[in-house]
Amino acid sequence: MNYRDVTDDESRRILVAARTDIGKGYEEIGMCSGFVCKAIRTVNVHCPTNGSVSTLTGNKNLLRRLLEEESPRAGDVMVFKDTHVGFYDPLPPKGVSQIYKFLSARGSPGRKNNAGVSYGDPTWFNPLPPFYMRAMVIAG
Amino acid sequence: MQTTRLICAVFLWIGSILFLGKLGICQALAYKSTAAGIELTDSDLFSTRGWSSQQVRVLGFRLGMTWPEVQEHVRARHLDLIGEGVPGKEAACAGQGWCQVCEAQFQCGGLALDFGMSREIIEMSISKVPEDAAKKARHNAIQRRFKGITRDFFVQYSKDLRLKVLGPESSHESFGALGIEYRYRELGLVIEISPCPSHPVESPCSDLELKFVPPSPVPQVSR
Repeated sequence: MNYRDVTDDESRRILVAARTDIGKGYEEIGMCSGFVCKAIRTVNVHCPTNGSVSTLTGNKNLLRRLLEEESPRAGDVMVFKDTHVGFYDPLPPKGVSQIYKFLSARGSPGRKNNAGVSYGDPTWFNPLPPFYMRAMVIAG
Repeated sequence: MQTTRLICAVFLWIGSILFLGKLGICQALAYKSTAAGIELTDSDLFSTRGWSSQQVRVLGFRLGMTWPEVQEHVRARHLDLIGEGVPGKEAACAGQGWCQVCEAQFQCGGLALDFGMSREIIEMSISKVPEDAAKKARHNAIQRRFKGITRDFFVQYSKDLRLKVLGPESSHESFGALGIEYRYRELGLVIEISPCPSHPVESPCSDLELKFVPPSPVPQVSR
């Protein structure tokens, strides 16, 4: 089976889907990788919502790592060294700091005050820069 | 008798010189204090009476600072300014739009500066580095260096604390699930809150951003 990158329009749809979960908590959304897959499922139903970050980023039929020279676009996935994933949103909506270009589901089991699906500063999650991945769909 | 008068006159003369001198020193100190402003990493801003954003300094940055002044300050303090762009691939700050202040590469503590059309600082923003941030990010958080109530504001934020420290806001705007913004016009302060689920909008786990902007008088309501 052949796979292709999502189009600009499909990327936008993924981000729109992700934004609808803003404010939802860990109990409802689950881990960050589940949140990412839930949004990607709007264009690729094969994305599993119960996998770990490494399962998600390691699936070559779901995500493709962008090359250094490629520019990320809205709706691409930002990955912090297999610890945290979310979406790149270069133009966050009004009411969100313009520096907060990362939309993710923040929380883990056992933590008391999970922040849930929210925007944040990418530098919070890892001092090292993230890498970017683009969702894939079946071609044709 | 004449000797006593002479001695008194000498004492009065010395006293007046000392007194005037002291006044001069006091005035100089007062000027210096105003000129230096209130540095958030040295002083408890929220315990200071009658402050406004014009006096606020964060790591030496202040509103109205020109781009050449900023560049000189950055060099002197060995800071790094990161400009806007794709996270992880940002260009160096060019005195336009938002720039993040970092004390070393990838060590940004939550302070950002917004530059206006004339490349002067028009806004200073301090983001609370949250509890779920990476250990190093929490360690670098500038809020850890704040004093007294100003520091408490970042650690124990609540509606009660906001009202106790700052009083009622001049205006506010709600952004639904994204949060709420409180504006204190006379202080030149904007507080942006992003709630965490299952908690009141304003609670210690909320994401918090303090923005210092030029103060503006509150419009009088006509009766």
